[in-house]
Formats: sequence, C-alpha cells, structure tokens
Amino acid sequence: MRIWMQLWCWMFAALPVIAQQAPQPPVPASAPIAVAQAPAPNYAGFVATPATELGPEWGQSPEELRKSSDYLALTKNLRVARSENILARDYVRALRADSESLRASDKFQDAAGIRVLQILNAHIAHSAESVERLIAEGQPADLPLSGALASPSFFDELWMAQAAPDVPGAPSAGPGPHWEIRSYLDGSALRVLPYVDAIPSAASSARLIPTLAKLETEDGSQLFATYLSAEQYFGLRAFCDAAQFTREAVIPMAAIAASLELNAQAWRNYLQRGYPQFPWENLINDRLVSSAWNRPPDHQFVVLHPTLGVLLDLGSAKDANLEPALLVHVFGLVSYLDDERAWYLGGSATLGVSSDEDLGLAYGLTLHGGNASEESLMPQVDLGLLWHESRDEDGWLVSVGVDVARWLGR
Amino acid sequence: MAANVVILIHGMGSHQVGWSAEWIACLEANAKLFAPYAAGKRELSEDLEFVEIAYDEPVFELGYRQRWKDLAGALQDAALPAALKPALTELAQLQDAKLPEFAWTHLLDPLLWFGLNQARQAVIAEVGAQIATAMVGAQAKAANVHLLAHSLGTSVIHDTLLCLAADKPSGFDPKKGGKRFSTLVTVANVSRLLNAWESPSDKLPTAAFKPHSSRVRPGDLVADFVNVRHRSDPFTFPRCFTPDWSAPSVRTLEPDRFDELMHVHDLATQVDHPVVARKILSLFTGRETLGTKAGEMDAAWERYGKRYGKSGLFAFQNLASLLEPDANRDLGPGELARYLTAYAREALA
Repeated sequence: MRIWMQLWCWMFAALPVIAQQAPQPPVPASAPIAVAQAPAPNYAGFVATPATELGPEWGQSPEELRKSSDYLALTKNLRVARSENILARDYVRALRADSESLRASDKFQDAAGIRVLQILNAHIAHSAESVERLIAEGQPADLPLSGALASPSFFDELWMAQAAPDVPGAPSAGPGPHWEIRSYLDGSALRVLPYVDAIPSAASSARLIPTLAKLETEDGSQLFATYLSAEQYFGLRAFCDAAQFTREAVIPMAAIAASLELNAQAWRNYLQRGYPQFPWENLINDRLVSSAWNRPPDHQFVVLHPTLGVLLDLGSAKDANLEPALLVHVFGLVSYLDDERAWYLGGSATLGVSSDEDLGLAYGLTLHGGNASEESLMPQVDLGLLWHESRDEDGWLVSVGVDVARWLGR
Repeated sequence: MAANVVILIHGMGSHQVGWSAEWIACLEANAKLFAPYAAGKRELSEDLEFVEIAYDEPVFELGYRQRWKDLAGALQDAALPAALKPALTELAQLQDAKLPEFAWTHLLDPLLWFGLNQARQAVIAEVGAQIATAMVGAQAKAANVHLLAHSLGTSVIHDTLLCLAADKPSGFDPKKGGKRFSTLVTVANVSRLLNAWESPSDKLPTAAFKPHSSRVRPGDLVADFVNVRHRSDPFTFPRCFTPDWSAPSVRTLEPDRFDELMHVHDLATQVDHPVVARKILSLFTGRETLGTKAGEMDAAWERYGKRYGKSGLFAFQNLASLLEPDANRDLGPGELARYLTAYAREALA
C-alpha cells in the first residue's frame, strides 16, 4: 500500500537540489554559563536591588492577581469600559483614570514609583495625541478603538510582560552571566509618531518599565534583583493586565475564526474529497496550479490517472453486459465551481482496457463530476464515451466510474 | 477559570484527537515539583487551559496517505486484465519490504510539508483556523495565549503566525491592533531545516519565511521566545535554529541527557529537564517565583537524574557526517529525504 511513498521519495530525489551552498559560520559549541560575578545592571533609569527571596506578589498567577480586591480597585475604569465597541477616546480616558488610581495610592511615591507613573502617563498622552490627530484628520469623534488600532498612525503600547530588549549581558551578548530582565510595555509597538513627552532619550529602554532581573546558572540556581517594590510590581501588573485585555476585547476574533474555518473547510474539501490525486498528480498540481494558504486551488490537472470502471458496449446494449475495465485518464482538467471547493466538473482524454480482450483498446473522453463537501451524498462520477477497435467489430463504449468507497461512507 | 491558554502543536507522526494527553501529563508531573503545585495544593489545570492543534489527520492522513491508499487498494482489488496484475502485486510487495511503517507514518509528514507547497498551505489553513477558534475562547476569558510546539510543529507554527499576521492583520498583527502571543516555546526547532522554498502566502515573499530574520521573534509577533534543543537530537543537526537576535534575546536551553537514544527528539526528554520545565511553566503561569523554594530544584534534579541516566554528545555522529562540510547549508527535498531515511535506519536499527 505504501508504494506511493516510495514513488514519492524517488520523485523528490529527482528534483533539482535547491542548495544555495552559501557559506555560513558553523554553529558555535555551547559554552557553560559562568557563575555571575557582576551584579544585575541598572536599567532604563531604574536601580536594581538584589533580592534573596521574592515576595508572594511575584508568584501570583493572573487569576490570583485578578481576584485581589486591590486589583479590582486599581483597574475599575478599564474593566468597566471593556467592550468590543469601546471608543478610542473612552479607552484613553479609562487608561488615564486608572493611572490616577495608581498615583493616588501611597505606593508610588519613591523615585521608582514616580518614574513608573511618568512612563505610563507619557504613553497614555501619546495615545491620546494620536487619537486626537486621527479625529482632526477626518475620523469621526466617536472613533471606535478598533478603527484607531487599524490605523497605522495610532500609537498604542502593548501592555504585556516580556523579556526586555537591549539587556547588558543577555544571551546574545555571548558567554558569561546572562541577566534576563522582565519588563512591561513595548517600545517595538512605536509606529509613526515621533516619541516626545516626559521621557528623555530615544532609547528603546526609556519606554520600558523593568520589573525583575533573573540570572540562572546551568545547575538551575537563580539570582534575582528587583527594580520595583512588590506593591509597585502588583500595581503596574494590574494596570497593564487590565489595559491589555480592554484593548484586545475589540479584536473581532469570532468573525475571524469563522472565516478561517471556511477556508480550512475548503482545503479539506479539495484534499480529502475532491477529485483524487495520485502522488505524481499532487506533485504536478503543486507546481502548476496557483494557490495560497487562504486560497485553495480552484482547478487541478489529471495526469496518467488509472482508475476502475465498467464498460458498456453500445453495439450490444441489449445484452447490457458490463465489463470491468482499467481506465487511464491520460490528461485532463477539473475545475472547482465555488469558494467552498465543493462542486467540481472536468474532463479527460481516456484510454480503457477490459478483461474482455475482444473489446481491445478503447479511447475517448471522460467527464468528471462530484461534490466534495462532507455532507454531500453525491459521489465522484466519471462518465466517458470511448471508441474501441477490436478483431470483430469497432464501436462505441460508455465508461462509468463511481467512487464507491465514498458512496458507502467509508 | 484559567487565564492562560496554552496551544499545543504536535510534530511529525500520527496524531489523532486527544494526542496531547502525554504532553499535558509531562507538564503536570513537572509542575508538581514546584510550589504551589507541589503536594496537591493546586492543580496546573487551574492556571492553564490546554488546547491541542491537530493537523496530521485532516491534511497528511486524510488528504494524502488515506487517499493514496484508497487509490492503490482499488486498483489491486479490481478484476484487472491478467497481464497487469503481477506488476502491481510485485510493486506492492517491494515497498512493503523496504519501507517500514515508520517512514510511512512519520517521515512522510516532513517531506510533504517541505516538498509540497499545497500541503504546507493546507496545514497553515487548518492550524490557523484551530488557533483562531482557541483564541475566541481565550478572548472571552481575557486569557494570555501561549504556544508550545515540537519538531515539525515548530516550522508549522512559524509559518502559520506569519501568514495570519499578514492576511488577518486585525487579529494577529500586534502592530495593527491584533493579539500578541505571550510565549512561544519551540522544542526541537526544525523551522530552518524545513524552511519554505516557496511562499505559502500571496502577501509575503519567500524571504519573509526565513526563521532567523522573520517576524516570529520576541518583541514582534510573540512577547517571549524560548527554544529548547537536545544536544544529541539529529533533527537539529542540519540548519540548526540559532538566531543572532541582538535585542531582545531568545533563550536557548540545551539538555543533553536521555534514557534511550530513540527518545532524544521527544518532547518529554527535553521538557523534563528541571531548568527547562521551570522556565516554561514560569512563563505559562506568570509565576516568577516558580522553583525558588529551598530544595525544589534539588528534588527536580534527582528525579531527572533517575529518569535520564545517559548522556553523550557523540550520538548519531554518522548522521552528522552526512552534513559535512557545512551543516548550515540549505538542503534540497532529495537531500532531506535521504537524511530522514538515514535517521530512520539508524534509529530503528
């Protein structure tokens, strides 16, 4: 049964090798990580404080974070505003209101806390500025957040934790102590507008808020340093969590999923139940028929396609003798008639031989048709009209082929 | 209600519904080594909801393998002209003897993915649809979405993320208001080896699919990226995924122990490494303190040592020699087929 696998491999081996032979440096051997001698670096204006143990705030899962009463108090505006139809101005208003809640708490009064609020507010001001600019340029005053996000000139940070860029001693910097710094906000989301406001310097790190530095040795032991107090970390994490999911609520994910499912279904129709392909036909159609991941092929070639059928000799139709036959569709084309790749219709030039040697070789044309959708009862049907030349007499044959396996619901 | 959804993308081989149970059990067993999951105080399922992606059955199995079997079976069973039967029978017996089941069920997958652009496109369509469905649920519960991919799945998820971001920017391009995936963990990353040599997308050129320079990197389509590679895994010998991303970095972890040589490529062999397990689980759960309690890592190392007693950097050296003089060069489909066949011979010997 696996003959096709072998044939397929042979065909691959016969393909021209696409090696570019571009010289590239060999993969460096992995060097052991040295024990850290250097302390965690200060980063983006924040001072690293070595920590032997991390408080419980650092170990909370998002669920535990959200169940906290402090979370509910600090993120009230963003949570209330969360809706798929939220307006851009309301989103900015909610960001401002909840950042005020952080400011009003007594946890952000030291240098690190003040700087956190500065960075947050600079981001919010920048978002507000870009919303107002869009409206000034002709967008409606009630511009939805989804519309603003779709605009290339809307500025919005991603409010999620990530490994910070530009970290001194990071893995990309080579062997040695590898500090990984966790951070919030994301400078790479910066798009069109120049960065101004309260944050000095255009360095990407100036737009990020580092929270925790970790250094891990090969044996698994860890060193830590923190950039914020536990309470500041909690407040910042709560704010960013609420902002992230308020922004993401406007993504029309259900509609996107529905359209992607239709696309996947069309591919399933084409591959699983469309006109069947032998390995060499798969290869030929792959090369000759245009398609993309979201645009399944709308036609396919039929090449040297052997199949089973029966032949009915029209010259002796009264007997209604059906002769089993091997039909070879030498060359043909099948077109899919709809976006679902369900209905298909096509034709091929066909050769036929049956076990009745008196019939001789037959040749002619075959029509292919069927419905590839999963729920369809319509099987693949091949109907041909072939001419045969035998020892006794020549004449017309009708060939019929049906995908019985599918019909019987294999 | 878990606020983290972890999408699991399998590698080569037959994977039917429910295939992810083994992976989930592996992650849960490792989680139990660390507070708060130790001693049954909290279940990992309270923090993580797992969603498995299955592309093998709808594409490789039902779209190719089964169809070829049906076509061949119909021809063999038929009342064919007597002259044709011996040839077909001989061909059938020939391949049964020479091609083990492993090649048919496993090695064909990467060959189809690599060699047929239509197979690649169909897989991307299937995986994209399943990911989007998972994200509808994640959006409803405001969950972070993480990705864990193994082997062939690393190449699959790489191309799928690029296609989704290019063609559905309102949903999957974070720079256009779409969702950013919180974490991408690749285990036995073969995305460079199986690099697309023709773009599967109308919107992107082939060059956009080069893993070392593509948008699938931390700070772009994903926030964090962890790469796990066993040092003896022969699938990562050719065109090893070693990005030189200056900022932000990708973290590569390289376990080197195993129980049986056959298992060096397996996900469990690599994820059971204590540092790997802690890193992955910490990112998935959002718990920065995971594995910091006294004695937790010692216990994890002890378990790892008992389970994976062997180590050796010289395993599969015959395969490595096939790649000389430059393991980093592009392999053509024929070369890839020969390499995979050599692996199958050595692994099954």
